[in-house]
Amino acid sequence: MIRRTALALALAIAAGAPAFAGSPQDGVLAHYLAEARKADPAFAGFQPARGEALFRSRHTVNPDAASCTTCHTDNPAAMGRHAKTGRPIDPVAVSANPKRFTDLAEVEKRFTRDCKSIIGRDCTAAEKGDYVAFMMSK
Amino acid sequence: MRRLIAAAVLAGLAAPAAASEMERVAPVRDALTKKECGSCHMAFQPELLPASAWKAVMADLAKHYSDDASLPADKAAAIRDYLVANSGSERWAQAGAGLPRITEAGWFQRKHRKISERAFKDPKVLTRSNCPACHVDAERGYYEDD
Repeated sequence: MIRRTALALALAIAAGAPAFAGSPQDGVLAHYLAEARKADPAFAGFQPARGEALFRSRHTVNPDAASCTTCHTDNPAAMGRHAKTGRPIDPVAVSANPKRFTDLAEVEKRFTRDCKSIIGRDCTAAEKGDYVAFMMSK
Repeated sequence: MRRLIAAAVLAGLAAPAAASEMERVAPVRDALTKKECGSCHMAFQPELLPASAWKAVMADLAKHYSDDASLPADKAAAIRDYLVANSGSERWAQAGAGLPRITEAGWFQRKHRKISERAFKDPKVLTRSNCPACHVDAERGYYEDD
């Protein structure tokens, strides 16, 4: 009985918690949330729509790649292709590639390279979290 | 006994082919190298560049041709060591400024002298360094299909 109550309680808490609780991407999201709150204590949380805007935004620093979509295509659930080398790139959307955003070191490696390469600067923790939230919604 | 001789003969036949001019190179056997080098382009076999060239390539991954390919120092060092330990002949070392390129090695240019610029620029190929676009088993070190 106690056990069942505890389970019900846990489920209730999970239901009220942020949308992504209980997914393999939680650790990465929690890291970026803590970082975003360090920068702005009033930070309210990640928004997939902002992540989508970042994903589709166009820039001018890279003559070979104006946007994330250059390599990842307009559909993040589709296979991508490296604009310069032709190398196939696995989908970024979590629905199509559940391993995405599960290893913080791997995620940081990619953001470090790609933000600089496409946008011309490092991404903020809030931007990274928004991007992950968008990819989890796709 | 007979079978043994047959095997020896077969091995003997296979050996000269393997030794001839870069058509069969040892595949990348190091898991870290395969993963990190192979995420943005084919993980090129260490034998395709001399040790001096690999050292130059691995010296600053933040400036990797025109891309940022930075890695934690320990991983970069491990990959460099693997590439250097299995590198090709210094006979193919390239003079001049800038990072060495496999596609500018003498043997590469000779092998591809009949391939038109248009073929390399085909949307399916994009670049000379996209080996598996034409050599379907390039990842495994087979380039004999030309």
